[in-house]
Amino acid sequence: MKGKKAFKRFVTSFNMYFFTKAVSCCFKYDEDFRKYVSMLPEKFVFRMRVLPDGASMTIVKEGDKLTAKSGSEIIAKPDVDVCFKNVEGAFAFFTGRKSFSKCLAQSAFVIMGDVSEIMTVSHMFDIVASYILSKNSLKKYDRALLPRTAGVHKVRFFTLFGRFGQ
Amino acid sequence: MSTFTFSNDVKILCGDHALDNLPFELRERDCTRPLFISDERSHRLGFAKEVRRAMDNDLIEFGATYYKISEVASPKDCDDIVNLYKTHGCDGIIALGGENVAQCAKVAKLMLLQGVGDFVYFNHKADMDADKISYSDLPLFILPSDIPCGIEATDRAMIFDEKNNLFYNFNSVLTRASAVILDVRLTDIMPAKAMATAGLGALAMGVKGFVDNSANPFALAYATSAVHTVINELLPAMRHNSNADYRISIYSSIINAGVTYYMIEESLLRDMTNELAIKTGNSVLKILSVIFPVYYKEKMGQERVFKSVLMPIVGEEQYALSNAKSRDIVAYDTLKEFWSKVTELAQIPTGLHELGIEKGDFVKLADAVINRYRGSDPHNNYTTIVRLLEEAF
Amino acid sequence: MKNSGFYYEFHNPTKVTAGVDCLKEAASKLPSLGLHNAFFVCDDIEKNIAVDEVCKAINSVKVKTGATYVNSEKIVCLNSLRDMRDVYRVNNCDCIIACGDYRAVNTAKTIRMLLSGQVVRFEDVKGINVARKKVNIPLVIIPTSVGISNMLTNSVLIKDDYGAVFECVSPLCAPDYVIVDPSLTSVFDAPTTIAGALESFAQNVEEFVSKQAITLTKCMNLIAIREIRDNVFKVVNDPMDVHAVLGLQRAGLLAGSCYSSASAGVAHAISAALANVTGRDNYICTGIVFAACMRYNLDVVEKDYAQALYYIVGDDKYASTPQEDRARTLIETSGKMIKELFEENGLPTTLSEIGIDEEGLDRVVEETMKSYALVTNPKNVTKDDVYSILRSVM
Repeated sequence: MKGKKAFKRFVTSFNMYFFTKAVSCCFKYDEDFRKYVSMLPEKFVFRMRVLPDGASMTIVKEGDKLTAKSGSEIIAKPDVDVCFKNVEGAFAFFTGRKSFSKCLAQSAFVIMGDVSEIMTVSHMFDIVASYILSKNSLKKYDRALLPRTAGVHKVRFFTLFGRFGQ
Repeated sequence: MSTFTFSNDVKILCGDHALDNLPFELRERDCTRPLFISDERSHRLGFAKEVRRAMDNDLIEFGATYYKISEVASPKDCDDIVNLYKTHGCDGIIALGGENVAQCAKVAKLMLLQGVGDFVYFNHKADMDADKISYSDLPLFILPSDIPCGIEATDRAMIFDEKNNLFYNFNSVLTRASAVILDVRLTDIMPAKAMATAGLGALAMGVKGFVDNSANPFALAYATSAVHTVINELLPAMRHNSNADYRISIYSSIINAGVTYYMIEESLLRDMTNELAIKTGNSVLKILSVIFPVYYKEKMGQERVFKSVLMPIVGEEQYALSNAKSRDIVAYDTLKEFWSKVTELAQIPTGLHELGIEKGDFVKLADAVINRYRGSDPHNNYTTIVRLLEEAF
Repeated sequence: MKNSGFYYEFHNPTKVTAGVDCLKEAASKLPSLGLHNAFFVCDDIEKNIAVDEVCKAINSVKVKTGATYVNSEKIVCLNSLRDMRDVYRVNNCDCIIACGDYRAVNTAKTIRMLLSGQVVRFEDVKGINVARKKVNIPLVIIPTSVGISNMLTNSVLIKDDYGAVFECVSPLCAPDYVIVDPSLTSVFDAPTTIAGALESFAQNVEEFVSKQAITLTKCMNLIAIREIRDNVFKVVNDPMDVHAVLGLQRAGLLAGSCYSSASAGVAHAISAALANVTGRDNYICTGIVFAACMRYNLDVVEKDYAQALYYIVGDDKYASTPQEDRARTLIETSGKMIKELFEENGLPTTLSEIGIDEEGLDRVVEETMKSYALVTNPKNVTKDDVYSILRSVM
């Protein structure tokens, strides 16, 4: 039964690519985002992927640098590995229909690693969502978001056209 | 406060995209070659295709598929499932469809776990109670595509052998499903009539469960949630039957009501409805929707617990304001009013005669029910049964 | 087609038997569960007289206690788990029976998860839904204190070799059978019983207003709240009233069975953080912060609180309280009840009494913000919110 839900898989991978770029941009321009990153332990590796063999992204914190990459390349052994149980959950998250914490509450994940870092990551992703989602999508977003500390257009521009992984 | 035991190890996955979690649940149980069974209707309406679409990876392959479960669960269906399962080396069962599919799948699971190859093994063993507590190790997923019947998340299953006119009632943990998955995509828009019948049936099961399980807080919670949901959401579900939220809400209340209703050890009402359902070819919920008001009236004077059933029916506000001494009467009146409102709006049968039952069959039916009834309540005798049938006619 | 996108999972895999003097009858069914040679986990064999009674009951039905392990750690550490694993294997045990308070329960659940999942490295089970069943090892829990709703939950806490606490959530943690006999409990002192009952009250209220609460879990929570209202004062007056103790235990069972679906909220998160920082029992910390947490959530869940009031005050007071005041009345009544019961029993009611100062506050807030329980709190919790909750009970 191969090749099912090709569209959703494609959209998930596509959005995941830009989501990881947005993570890098937020780290560069958003103060609150950086505060949350500083709460993560040193050399922290976070991975997010779709079970059983879907798209994946990795975020690595090293010193004052944050590297975010999408794709199946394994940068290092993840401290926290968040796996979507299926592509539908991932599709809902990467299209802004559900927040990370809602996915968490609805058991959309299998999480390997220390659960205590998950909430920090959840706050970080909420900040990313506040930049990349449209006004209408944000109205439907189920989390109250913090006020943005950087320009929306700036973050969006660099998310679309900036160099990857910075 | 007496001792109670509660056990219901069935996972409920309900709501938006619930079906997409099926592959994960299968993988969790190391099930890679499930047998997929369904009935003609679900296949024709495209629900089987939805299930196939949900299997989004190449690790899970259906060991075999079978779409020919008959409309009334029969021993032949169970035998066919067992044979297919064994021949194709399957390691789990996915049952998509209505009451018939769920019943067959449950009994097939029991046969496979007990190593029974042929349904004949059960011949003339009227009630198949499990004599030991055991762990189910054969993954069985029930996906109701029609209106659920309430038996999905229970330890019970019923098979009618039309050829020999024998009724098999199984009550064993070996029939227990691993999970019941209620997904909007597997439920078609139901006509208001069908929704009303099912809703009233669930309400009857809920009220009966509430009254009989008052010492068991778990069963009481299942009953309360079923009654509360039906009372508040059945009419909107009938009026806006394309609203998936209402529909799923009523369906899950049927599942909950079933848990509490089938937990009652011995029940005249259950024996009566089962007998009538089998003999007339109507669903249990349909029979309940007709017979319950009469039964309720009969039992109200005997059981004082009917007072507290007012709470889930009217809510805390009205309950607090009502006179403590007449709560059972208020509960009865409110329920009766609700019943009439629903039956009038949906134009559903209100008497047994509308379900094709004839007065001449009452003696035979009462005989069969009394033979089946194992309870010790002296009120539940032959005369009571005949009287109830006559009143419900 | 209207579809709000709501989705829930509900699973309560545990069989429960509860009743006064039900131990013997329930124990007689143990051999049919496949129990022959039990690994017996308890918290304090000398102080806990009930342990002896339970041993006798299970031995009388020919279930051998192949090995006994006494563990009095609040949170089980990896070294103890390694020991237990060895003892279990050496003695060829085939099941686990736990008897005691939350310590024994947490320990037994953890060791069952590790043995049943055939876990080699403990790091491999950190997380949510990671451990998978490979061997069937039945786990039976016989609690001897009130309010230990963790006996039905699917999560455990483990302390690693460096002293850090991590949480594992897995269906393997949930026991197969729980036998609740209050006659095993009433030997305990009243303060523990009352604090346990109040913790279970707090948990029920939090689950009731949780974002993931469904009608079924809400009904369970309301029934549990009523059980607590009906029985807590009976236990205060007579700690040996087994029927009242059973009522409180039933409330704990109901709270536990909702946890996997409805989870908890901010009070749970803060009290866990407080317990971690101060080393005090979780239920004491819950009692201190609970009313403040209710006040914090009030504007979002006013309707739910108003509904829950009925189960606390009963017909007359509920009917005579104006609708708009019901939620506040619930908070006041609950706060007053907890405060009075805590003071009467010599339990602390402020943070300063458990040794939290401004510095400690920062640590508590940091720990709280990491709690997974915040996900289902009806309101999105920020750091400032936690500070203000904590400062209000300093």
